[in-house]
Amino acid sequence: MLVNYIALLPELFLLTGILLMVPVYFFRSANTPKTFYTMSKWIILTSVVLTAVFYDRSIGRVWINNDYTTLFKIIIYLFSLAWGGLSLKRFQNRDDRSFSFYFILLLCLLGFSLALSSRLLWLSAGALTFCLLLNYPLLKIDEEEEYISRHRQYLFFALMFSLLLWVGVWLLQRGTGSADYSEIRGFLLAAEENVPGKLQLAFVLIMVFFLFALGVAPFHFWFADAVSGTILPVAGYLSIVPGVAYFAVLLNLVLNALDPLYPWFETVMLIFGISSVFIGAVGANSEDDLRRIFAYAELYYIGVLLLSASNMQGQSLLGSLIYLLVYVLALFGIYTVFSGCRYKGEYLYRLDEVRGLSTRRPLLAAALLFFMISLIGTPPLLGFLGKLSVINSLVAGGSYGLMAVVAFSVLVLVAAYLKIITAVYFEPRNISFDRVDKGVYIYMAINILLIIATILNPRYLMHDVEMMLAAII
Amino acid sequence: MENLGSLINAVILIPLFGVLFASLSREGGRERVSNVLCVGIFTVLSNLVVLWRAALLIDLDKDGWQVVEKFTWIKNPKIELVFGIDIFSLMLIAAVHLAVLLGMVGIRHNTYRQKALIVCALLFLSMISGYFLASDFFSFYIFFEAMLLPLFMLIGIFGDIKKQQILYRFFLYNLLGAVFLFVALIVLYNYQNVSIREVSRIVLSGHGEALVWGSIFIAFLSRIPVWPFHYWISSVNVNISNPLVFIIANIIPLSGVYGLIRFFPVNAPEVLDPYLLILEVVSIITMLMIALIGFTKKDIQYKIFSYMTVYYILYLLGALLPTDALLMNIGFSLFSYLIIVAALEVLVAHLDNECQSKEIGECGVLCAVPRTSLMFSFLILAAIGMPLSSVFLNNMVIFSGLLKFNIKMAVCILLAVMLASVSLLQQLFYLKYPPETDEPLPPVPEECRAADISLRVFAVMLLTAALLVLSFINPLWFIG
Repeated sequence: MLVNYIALLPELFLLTGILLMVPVYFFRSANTPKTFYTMSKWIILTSVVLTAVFYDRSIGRVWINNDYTTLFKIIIYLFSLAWGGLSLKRFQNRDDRSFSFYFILLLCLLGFSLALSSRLLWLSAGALTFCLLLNYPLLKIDEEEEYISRHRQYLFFALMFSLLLWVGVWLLQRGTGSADYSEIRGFLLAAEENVPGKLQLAFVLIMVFFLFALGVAPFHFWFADAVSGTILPVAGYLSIVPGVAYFAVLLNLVLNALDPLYPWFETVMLIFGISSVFIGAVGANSEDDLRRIFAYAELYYIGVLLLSASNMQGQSLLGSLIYLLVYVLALFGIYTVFSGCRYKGEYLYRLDEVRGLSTRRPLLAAALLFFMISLIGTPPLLGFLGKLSVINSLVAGGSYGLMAVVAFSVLVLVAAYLKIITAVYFEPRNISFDRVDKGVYIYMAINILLIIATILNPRYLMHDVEMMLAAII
Repeated sequence: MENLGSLINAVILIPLFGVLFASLSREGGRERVSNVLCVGIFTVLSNLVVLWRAALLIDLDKDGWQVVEKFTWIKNPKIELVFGIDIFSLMLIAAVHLAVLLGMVGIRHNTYRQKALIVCALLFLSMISGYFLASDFFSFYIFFEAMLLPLFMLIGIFGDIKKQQILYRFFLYNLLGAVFLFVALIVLYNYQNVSIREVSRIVLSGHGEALVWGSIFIAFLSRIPVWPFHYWISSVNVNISNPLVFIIANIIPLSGVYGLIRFFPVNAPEVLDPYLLILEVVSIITMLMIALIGFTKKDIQYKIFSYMTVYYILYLLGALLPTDALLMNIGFSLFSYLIIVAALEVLVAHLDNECQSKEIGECGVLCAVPRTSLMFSFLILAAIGMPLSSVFLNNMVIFSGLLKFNIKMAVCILLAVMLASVSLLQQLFYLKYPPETDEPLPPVPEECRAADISLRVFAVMLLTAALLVLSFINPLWFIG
């Protein structure tokens, strides 16, 4: 039915908006940095509304919208929207052109949206490759000379891993004779234990792409460099949005198409998860750059997610999804604080630059502390809910060893956070700080209220996550 | 009884409202008591009134937690936060509140980052009250860990820690204890979700039992300055010059002792018996060692720390005896002990401040300050167990309990307690009597004399002394 095509409306609207931005950029003379943010804002908001309204519309078996895809899309859209709003000040202060940033941001959203809803392997792979490669032009925005080689290195690896993904997709399509998720799954289930080796290889290649995109150890090498070698709007985007999107697509793909191939890979996921947890926790301690500290911290959190989700069972996935949402919310708060830490218009990234922040900007310092506590998982903040969900699911599944790894390795990560708290609260100020924009306070307040409301009554969050899971399991 | 439930909630919530108001209050100048301090004092007093009201509603004849307030927090996994109260926890909450109140009186003229100080103190108060009221696994753990952060902030900002590594180790060591508790409680919860009082109902396999109970054991022990970890805690404590922060930092071992009392010894499985013996030996060695160091040191702060440590370990060993009979005695004794130490610390901070600002020696300083001298002497005598507070009678009962079960252990403990007491008396003597000389000393100019405590502080100290004496006459005087 033609009417079913309204399921594509959010993506079509995003595409139209993106296309509209191009003539505005080239032919409108009175463009300011705010022009493209305003356009992006309305495009994303409309897409959010359309996604919510047509949450259950599907096009046959190739395009499925359900609670899982809808909620993840909305989360990705809202985080992008909020981060886009916070990033605007950076472009306004420097009177830079914001076109590239917002244009690519929308393209990435379109890509993630396609990858989430599509049930055609080549379409999902294309969208994901597109998003991964778009990181390169993002990193090129206001690129400093010393980072050029690093960014080229990223492009090389992104191309290489994308190629691996495509080889995997090609092998899988040839082997199963279909690109449709359900048909692939049907074929694999029918083959039972006689799955050909090349399909196993295809599965591995696809998984390797996801591990690279998520920045899981040992493929983490690019992430900290990328985040620390770029402007704050791009660093914030890379830290917040893609992780959620790739993880969501990974679960969708494994549970709906590749689960018959998955069981033996569980051990590999555990190894990657454990190594990410350790490298993340230890790596964060060896850094002085705040962005790098949190990049390694993110590696730790991704590691915990993999450990929790490794068996792809209901309770474990519930724990990992709650953990994902909780830590992304806190991480967004951390980047919000970063966008308020400025001196003479320059963002402050180093530990010695934020010394004594609490004496001059107590609200900013308090918010940083609040979000870090949440990230550590210390009660009574929201991070505790994430930690509880993950550890409880590990214990319930009998994985006591993993539970011990997750529970005790956080102490190493905490040591890195203590360095930040010490610099911010206990050390004397050595520079002054610029006035903080109202927007930063507003975003911080909303985030804090959201965290407090959720910890007081986590039922809504739990209910939403359960709905998400029910849609894909 | 329904009212009691609301009062329990109020005890946790009032300090949180205090935090909110304190963070919006103005910090005062040097001359006047600041708004933020007034908010702090008012909050603590309000909570004390609520506690008193709750005490009147408690049925003394009933055993166990009297009122249980349940909140369903999460449905999957089903987690209910349960709060209850008994006379033991009520006395501890009241003692902590009174100790913090005395600490606040002690910082009246200390204006350095007072807002941060009061906010963190009130937050700590809320968390530790929640901890004493918690009667299920999760609320117990939540408050056990949550109280660490305000403590870390207080010690970090006001602790004069020279080496940050010591502060980190202190915090991480305490956090490690919390992680052990979390892991153990999650495992227990997955076996059977029961209240803390019924925890002995859970039957675990041999290794599981040892690991889980061992973890709980380590968790509580991490809060008590037992060898070999006493160094970090003592390093942190002796550098604190702010009386309120010192009092709060020294309440932390109480959380460990309380945890052990709630979980042990009735609930502890037999598999832990050999470890309990090791703990007892290590504790006694620690007691003796710290008492000896306290005796040899000239620093009064360290002497108070060593006295506190010796007494905490005494209570710990009393609690580890295979009987619940001493529990109330430990509660009564702890009540007075905390108040005595807090009041003592306020006076010590005052004297220390006077000596430093006027560049005078400590020896004989009490001669010039009669009000301080009177209160100081009273508190030292009460601290060492003279019949001036509930420490006297209840410590005797605890000692008799210890003597009944293990005479060798009791003798060692007695020795350590005596050493700590002599150490305090030695300090009193040092502060009270100047060195004897053949020639009469020249009159000391007014500006070089230490100032006495103000009349207001003296009045507070007299009230404290009255409270202690009342607790000696009848530990439950406030209930009638």
